[in-house]
Amino acid sequence: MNRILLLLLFIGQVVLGQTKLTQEEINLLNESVKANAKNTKTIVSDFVQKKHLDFLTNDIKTEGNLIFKAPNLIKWEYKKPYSYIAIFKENAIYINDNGDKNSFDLSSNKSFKHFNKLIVSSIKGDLFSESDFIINYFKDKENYLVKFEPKNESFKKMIKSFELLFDKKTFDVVEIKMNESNTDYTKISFLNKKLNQPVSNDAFSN
Amino acid sequence: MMRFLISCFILVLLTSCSLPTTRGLVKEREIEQTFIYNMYFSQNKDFVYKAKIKAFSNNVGGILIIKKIKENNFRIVFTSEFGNKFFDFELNNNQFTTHFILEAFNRKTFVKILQSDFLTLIKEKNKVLAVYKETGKKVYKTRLNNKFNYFFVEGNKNTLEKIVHTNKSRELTIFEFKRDGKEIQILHKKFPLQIALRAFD
Repeated sequence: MNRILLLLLFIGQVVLGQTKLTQEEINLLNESVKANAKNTKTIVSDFVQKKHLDFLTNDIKTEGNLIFKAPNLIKWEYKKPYSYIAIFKENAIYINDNGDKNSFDLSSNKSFKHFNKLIVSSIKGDLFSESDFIINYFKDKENYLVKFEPKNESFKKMIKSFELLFDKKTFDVVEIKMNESNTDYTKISFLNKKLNQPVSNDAFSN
Repeated sequence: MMRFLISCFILVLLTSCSLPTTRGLVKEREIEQTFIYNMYFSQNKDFVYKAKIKAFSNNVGGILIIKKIKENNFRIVFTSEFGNKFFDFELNNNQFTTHFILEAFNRKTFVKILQSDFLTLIKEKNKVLAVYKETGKKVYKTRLNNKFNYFFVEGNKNTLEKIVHTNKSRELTIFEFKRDGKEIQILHKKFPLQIALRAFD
């Protein structure tokens, strides 16, 4: 019975084009990603975000660009179909919603604090600790896929699991997927990513 | 003289107690139309809006999604710009089910107000209790639970311009529709709460 189950699981993975990494491959991925994150001082990238809700006919598509500066400055700017800027800086989020400015202190809200950590680490490509997440590693022809399931109960209510897709050659994060349930998710794909270009701190003023 | 003063006082009292929504309008003797329809969300398509909610001293932006699943069955989801859900309601025959709500949003009064707003905003078929006339406009009075909704319909194009949600004597909430429902403003008079919606183009 167990053999049949294993065979089915194997077939399932092959059909999806994903196979599990060996411990050796996991170690290599972890080391490479860590080294990459350490050497990444700035990131400038375009992004396309797709929100999938199972009951919708079409995914909701938004676009913009992202600027990151080590250790933890992030500017997330949506340009289409609306203008919206979120700057993550010093444990707070500064918002410019088409001219309406606002800010939130992240330290007072555990869920948002977790979410912020997730965003920062995902962009840098930092892998998360096994004490906080159940982690599974996969690969296909071009990418490594790492799936994280949060152990923290309040975080779990926001996000059931999330996935980071790494380019196999560069170990860069090319896609983030946040699964809210088995059917609903948000997928962010990075395009035209440029690393370690000079970025002024002025880019992060609201 | 005394009688005149008393009459004036009564008149002022009556006017101030009457609902401002229909003040000065002519009530029609007969109701020709049994139902007034709100067609803005009647199609089975995705309605996606950039939303701004100003509630008390808090401002929250996000994306509001409204979808008619089938007859009398709607899904209403509000997410942040990053895509994570703030709340996920289902409206089925005027009854709400909460599929998800973020802790920070889960305040009984706030949820009750939001759900009442969505019911007024979405409910398609509304039984007409009275009809009032204004120049170039008709106003249809309908009931919603123990409150009333007044539908302001522009005469020539037969477009729904406004819904005023009231109790017997006071206006509680005003819903304004512009650009064929692509822009919607919801303004509360009892609470400092405003919702502005702008459809994705």
